[in-house]
Amino acid sequence: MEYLALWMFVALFALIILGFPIAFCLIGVALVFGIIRYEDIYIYQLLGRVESIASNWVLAAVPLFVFMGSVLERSGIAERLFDAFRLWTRNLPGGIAIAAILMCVMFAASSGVVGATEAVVGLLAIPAMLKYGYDKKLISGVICSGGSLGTIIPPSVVLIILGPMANVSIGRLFAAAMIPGLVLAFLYLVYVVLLALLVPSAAPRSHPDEPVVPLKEKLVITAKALVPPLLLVVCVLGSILAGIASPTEAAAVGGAGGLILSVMYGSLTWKALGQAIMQTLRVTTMIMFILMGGMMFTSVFFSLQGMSLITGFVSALDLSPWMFLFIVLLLAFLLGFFLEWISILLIFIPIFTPLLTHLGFDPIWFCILFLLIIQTSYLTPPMAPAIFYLRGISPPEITLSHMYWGMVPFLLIQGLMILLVILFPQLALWLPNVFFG
Amino acid sequence: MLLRLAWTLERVSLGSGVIAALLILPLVTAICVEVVSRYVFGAPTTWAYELGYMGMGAHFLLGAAYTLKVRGHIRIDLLYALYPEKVKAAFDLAGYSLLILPFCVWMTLGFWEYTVEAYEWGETSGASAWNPKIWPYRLTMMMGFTLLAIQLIAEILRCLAVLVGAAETLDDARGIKVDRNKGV
Amino acid sequence: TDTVRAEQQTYQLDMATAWSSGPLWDIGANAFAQRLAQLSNGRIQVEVHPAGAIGEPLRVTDSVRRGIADMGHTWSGYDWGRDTTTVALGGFAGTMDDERMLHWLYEGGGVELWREFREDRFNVIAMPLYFRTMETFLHSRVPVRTLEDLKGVQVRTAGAWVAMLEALGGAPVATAGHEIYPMLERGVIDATEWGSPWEDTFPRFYEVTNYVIIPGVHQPTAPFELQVNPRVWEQFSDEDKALVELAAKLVTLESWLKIGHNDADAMRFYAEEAGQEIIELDVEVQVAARQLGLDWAEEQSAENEWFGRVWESQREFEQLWNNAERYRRAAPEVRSLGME
Ligand code: NA
Ligand code: NA
Repeated sequence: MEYLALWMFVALFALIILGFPIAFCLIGVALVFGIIRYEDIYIYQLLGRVESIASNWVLAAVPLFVFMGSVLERSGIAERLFDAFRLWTRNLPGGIAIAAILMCVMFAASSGVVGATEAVVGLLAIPAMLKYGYDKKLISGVICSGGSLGTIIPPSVVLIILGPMANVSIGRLFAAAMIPGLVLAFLYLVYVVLLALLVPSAAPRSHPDEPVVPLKEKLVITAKALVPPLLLVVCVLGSILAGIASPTEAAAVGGAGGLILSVMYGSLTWKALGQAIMQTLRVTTMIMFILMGGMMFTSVFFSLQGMSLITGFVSALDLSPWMFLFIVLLLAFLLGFFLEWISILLIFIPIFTPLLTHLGFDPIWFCILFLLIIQTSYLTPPMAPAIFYLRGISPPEITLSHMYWGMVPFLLIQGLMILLVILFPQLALWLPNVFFG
Repeated sequence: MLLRLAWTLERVSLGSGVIAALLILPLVTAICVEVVSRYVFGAPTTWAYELGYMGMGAHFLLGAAYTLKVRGHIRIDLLYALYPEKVKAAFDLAGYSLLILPFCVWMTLGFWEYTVEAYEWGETSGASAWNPKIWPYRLTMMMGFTLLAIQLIAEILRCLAVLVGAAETLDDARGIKVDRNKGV
Repeated sequence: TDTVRAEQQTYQLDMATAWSSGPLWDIGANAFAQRLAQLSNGRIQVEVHPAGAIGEPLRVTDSVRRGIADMGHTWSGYDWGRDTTTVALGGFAGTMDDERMLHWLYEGGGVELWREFREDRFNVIAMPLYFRTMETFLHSRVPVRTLEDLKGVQVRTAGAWVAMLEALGGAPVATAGHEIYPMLERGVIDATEWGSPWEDTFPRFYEVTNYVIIPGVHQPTAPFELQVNPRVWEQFSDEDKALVELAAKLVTLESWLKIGHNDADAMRFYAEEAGQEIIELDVEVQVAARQLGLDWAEEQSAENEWFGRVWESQREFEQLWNNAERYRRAAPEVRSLGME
C-alpha cells in the first residue's frame, strides 16, 4: 500500500510505451488505482475533476488561442509572414530554420499555449525545409523547441496557473520570463547558424528556384505581411498590457481579430473557416483530455500519500540548500518525461516553493527555473506534447526517431539556459525589478 | 455487419463534433461582448464569465467522440507501429473495453445522478451575479461521456472486425484514408 | 491505564481544503492537524491536502460527504448555491461583528445549530475552524468614500455580495482568484475585496493599488469550517470526538488572535511602507451595506426554513448584546488618550 503511489508511474509508463492514447493511459491508470483506493465512491472524485476542469475560466483561453492560430494558418496570413521572413533570411546559413524560429517568437508573444504556436509555424516551415533538403532531425528540433517558446515568452498559460500556486504575482512572473525567453530563442538561432556552417548538408543554402527580389519590393512585401500579425499581437498583448482584458479575454479578442483580419484580406473562404473550426476542436479536445487525465492521475497519486512519499524521500537525503534545489529540479525534470505539466505543477509547487523560499532562494527566480523545466518537459519523450503536435502536422517521412534524436541538441540548450539562469539570477530578476521596484 | 453498425454509430460522433466545434463562435463572441461592454461602456455583463467556461467545457467534452473518431487523441506509436494488425486490434480492444468504455459508462451514470441531484436541490452555480441553475450544464457533461462511449463501441466493433477477419487493417475498417497533413 | 492507552485507536486521515498557501493553510488547516496530533499524542494524524489535490477546491463539502476525504477545511458560504443558510454561518453584509459572532458561536448556541444544519442538509459533521476578522472593503486603484464614489466602480467579488454591490451602484466582475492581481495591475478592474488586512498582504494587492478602503462592511467577520465525514466521525471514541472539537476550538481562537494582531501591523504596513492611502468609508455606505444585508436575510428567512432558524437565533443574540459597547468599552476618547 505504501508504495502504491509509485506503481502508478510504472503502470502509466508501460501503457504509454505500449502505445495506448496518452489521455486514455492517464485516465485508465487513475481509474484502476482510484478504485483500489476508494472502491465505488471513486466516481465522485472523477466527476469532481471533470467539473473542475470544465469550470475553469482560465482554460477557456486554450480553445480561443488555438482558434486564433488555426484561423491565421488557414487564412494565409501566417504564410505571407513566413515568406516575408524568408526573404530576409534566405541567404543566411539555416535561413528557413531561422525564419521558423522568428515566427515562433512572434506567435509565442501572442499565444499562451504550445500547440498553437507549433501548429502554425510547423505547417508552413516543415514543407519548405523538406523541399530544400534540411535534415529531418533539425526540422523536428526547430519546430518543437521553437513551439515550446509559447510557454516561456509571455503571455503564458503555465505562468498564469503557476503564479497563484507559488504565491507570486503573475505580473512579475511575466516580466521575469521575458528575458530568459528571448535569450533562449537567441541560443536556438546560434545553434542553427553554427550547425549550418559546420554541417552544410544539414541545412543546404542553395535555393535555386527562388527569384531574387529587389530591396524595395522586399520592404513592401514585408510591410504588407507584417501588418496583420503585428496588429494581432497588438490586439492580444496590447489588450492585456493596456488593461483592457484578462488573458482569457485577450485570447477571445485575438480570435475575433484573426477572423476580421482574414476577412478584410479576403483570404478566408467558408471552407477554410470550416477547417479552422474543426481543427480547433481536435487540438483543444486533445489538450484538454490530456489535462483532465493528468488531473485525475495526480488526485489519486495524492490520495495514495504520494506527497508524503516525495517529501519523505527528499528530507531523508538531508541535503544542503543548493543540493536540495538541484534534487527538486531534477525530480521535476525526470517526472517531465512522462507527466504533463499540470501534474508536475500540482505535485511540486505547493510542496517545495515554501521550503525553498525558507532556505533563502528567491521564489520568482525559482518559478522561472521551474518554468524552464516545464518547457523542457514538453520536449522530453515519451510524454512530449511538442512531439505529439509535430506528429499531427508533419508528413510521414519525418519519423518518430527523427523527432527523438532531433530533440537532443535542443535539450542541451535547455540545460545551458537553466544553468545560465542559475549562474546569473539577474536574467530573471532584473526586469521585474525595473517594472515593479 | 460489424462495420455497418460501427459506421452508423459514427454518424452520431460526426454530428456532435460539428455542433461542438461551432461552439467556438459563440464563445469568442460572448467574451468579446464582455470586453467591449466593460471597457467601452463600463458595464460588465453578468453572464460572460460563466458562459465562457461553459462554452469551453461543452466544446471539449462534446468534441471528445469526434476527436476519437478522427484519431486526434495522440499515442506514442514507437512500438505500436510495429505490431501486426491483429495485435493492434487486440491491444486497442483490451484497452477500450476494459478501461475506457467502463469509465465512460460510469461517468455517464455518475453525471446523471449529479444532474438529477442538482435539479432536485435547485442548485445554482454561485459563481457570478447571473447564478444560473447548474443541471443543464451537468447534463451536457453527461452527454459528452455518453457520446464518447458510443464512439468507443464503434471502435471496439472495428477491432473485432479485424480480429475475425472481416477487415484487413484498422484503417480499412475505418473505411477512411487518413491524410496526415491534415492531422492536428 | 497503560493497557487502555495501548488499545486506543490510531488514525491516518486525509483532509481536503480550498487553499494551498497563506494564513488559511498555515494557521487554519495545518495548525489544526498539528494541534490534533499534539493533543492525541500523535494517535490522530491528519494529512492536509492543498486545494484541488483530492477534490474540488470549492466543493470540499461534497468530497467529505461522499468520503473522498475524511475531513475538510472550507468556507461554508461556498455552498450558497445549494442552501443560503451557509452564508448566514459563513458571514455576509448582515452579519454581526467578529466579537459578537464568536460569542454567538460558542456561548449563544451557534455551534450546535451549525452542527445540526450541516448534518441535516449536507450529511457532514461540521464545526467552526479558523475565524476571520472584518475584511478590507476594497483594495482599489480609485478612491471610494461615498455611495456616489462607488457608482460604476468595477469590483472583483463573489458570492451573495455580488447582487448587493450591484444594488449599491458598483459593477461586480466575476473572475478566477489568481487573475485578480494581473487584472488589477493593468486596470482591467478598479478594485477587489479579498480577506482581512493581514490576509490581503499575501496576494500583494498593494503592489498594484493605491487605496486601502476600510471597513469591510460586506463581510464583518468570516468563520471557516471543519467538516468530518459522518462514518469517520462514528469511528471516533467519545474521547477522540472531544479531542477533535477541542483542537478545532483552540485553533479557531488562536487564528482570531493572530489575525487580529497581524491586521494591526498590516494596516501600519499599508500606510507606512506600501504607500497606500487608507480611506474610511462614509457612514452612509456602511449603513446602506448592512441594510441591504438585513433585507436580503429577511427574504431568505421567508423562503428557507433553516436560514430562518439560524437568523432568528443570531438576531436574538444580537438583541441581548445590543449596546454591549457601553459596558465592554470606554469611550473612543479614552482609548485615544496618549496616542498620536
Ligand atoms: Na506565450
Ligand atoms: Na516530457
